[in-house]
Amino acid sequence: MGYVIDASLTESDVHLSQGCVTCHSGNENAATRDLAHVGLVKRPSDDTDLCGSCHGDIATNYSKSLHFTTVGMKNGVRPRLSATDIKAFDGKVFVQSCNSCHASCGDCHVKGPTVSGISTGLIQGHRFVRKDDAKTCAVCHNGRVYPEFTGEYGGNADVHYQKGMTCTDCHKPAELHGPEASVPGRKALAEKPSCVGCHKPEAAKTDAAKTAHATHAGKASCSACHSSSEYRNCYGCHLGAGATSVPGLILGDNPRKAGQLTTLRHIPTVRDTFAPAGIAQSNYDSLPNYWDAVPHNTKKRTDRTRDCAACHVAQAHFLKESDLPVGGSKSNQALIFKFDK
Amino acid sequence: MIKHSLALAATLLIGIAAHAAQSSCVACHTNPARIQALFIPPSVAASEAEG
Repeated sequence: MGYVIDASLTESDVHLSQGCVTCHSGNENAATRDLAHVGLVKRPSDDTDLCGSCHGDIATNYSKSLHFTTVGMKNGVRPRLSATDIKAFDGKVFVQSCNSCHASCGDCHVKGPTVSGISTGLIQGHRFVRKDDAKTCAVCHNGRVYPEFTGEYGGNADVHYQKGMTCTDCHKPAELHGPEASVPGRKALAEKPSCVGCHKPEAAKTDAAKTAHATHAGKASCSACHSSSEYRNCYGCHLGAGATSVPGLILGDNPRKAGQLTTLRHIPTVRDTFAPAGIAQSNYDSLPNYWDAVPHNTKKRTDRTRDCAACHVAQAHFLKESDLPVGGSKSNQALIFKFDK
Repeated sequence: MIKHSLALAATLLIGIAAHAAQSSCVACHTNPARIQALFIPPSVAASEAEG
């Protein structure tokens, strides 16, 4: 509950045996709460050098990682911005808004992260845990991925969740702690989950599945066939006012791998998203309003795996001209999938 | 009488030492009732979920 510590840890946990003020500063001899908290450091692991005093390699990598720096968010929108916009964005928007999702070591290993002012508190009474996905990953990634994964969003739960797997069964420490060299975004990570890492296409149980995998290799992502239900798509974000969301399952041409059919997720950036900060997004049309997504709602059997006609005749879930947002990016046209490519 | 006084002094000294060894941090933060009494709920602005 809250900040109640498991008393036994003061003897058994090597981190706590150093004394609270070693990390948190403050005054351990004070008689009142206010005096004890003078100079208190609430989030000591925001300084990765602290954990790095023992966990050197991990902390060094982590200080450059996407969870810590959140630069993936900045780099994702940057192509829409002019040089002047970029300066304003970095100073007014990124630091105050995007970077609030920054995760320290403690946010994953000690205390559940704070989102919109709410935290689940210490994970296990201030025990330093290797992982607790439900109290860490699930808290920050509770808008899209986690509720889609568990089925709480309203669609099908992911088969991996149903089999008892959690986030860190696929997303390993090497990915989360980050590589030695920083990367611009998560798509550039060398260490990231891949379906074929466990599910070899040639090892499918039926001849039909083997044929389907061979036929579509390179032409369709795994999620194009195996995303099982609608997932969250966000629309109309304005600085300070948030966005709205609508469920949908959208298939289209991968904006990052032309010619591959994949699941797309609508992103909420509109032309005046950053207008309250005086940012015009001069190059708005350079990026589409959809990104390739891997909705975490995988199932072996879907309407598309049961019947080839679902895609090749009905084009079920395919992005159409009429679906494109009014006033949306001119880059959206390229995402309408064409079979003769 | 002397033995009784010595025993009492030893008990007091051990108690004082034990009290000094426990920091005020631990004294408060291992006491759920005290932490609950001191907790001030944060005011939360409504917004769409993140992530």
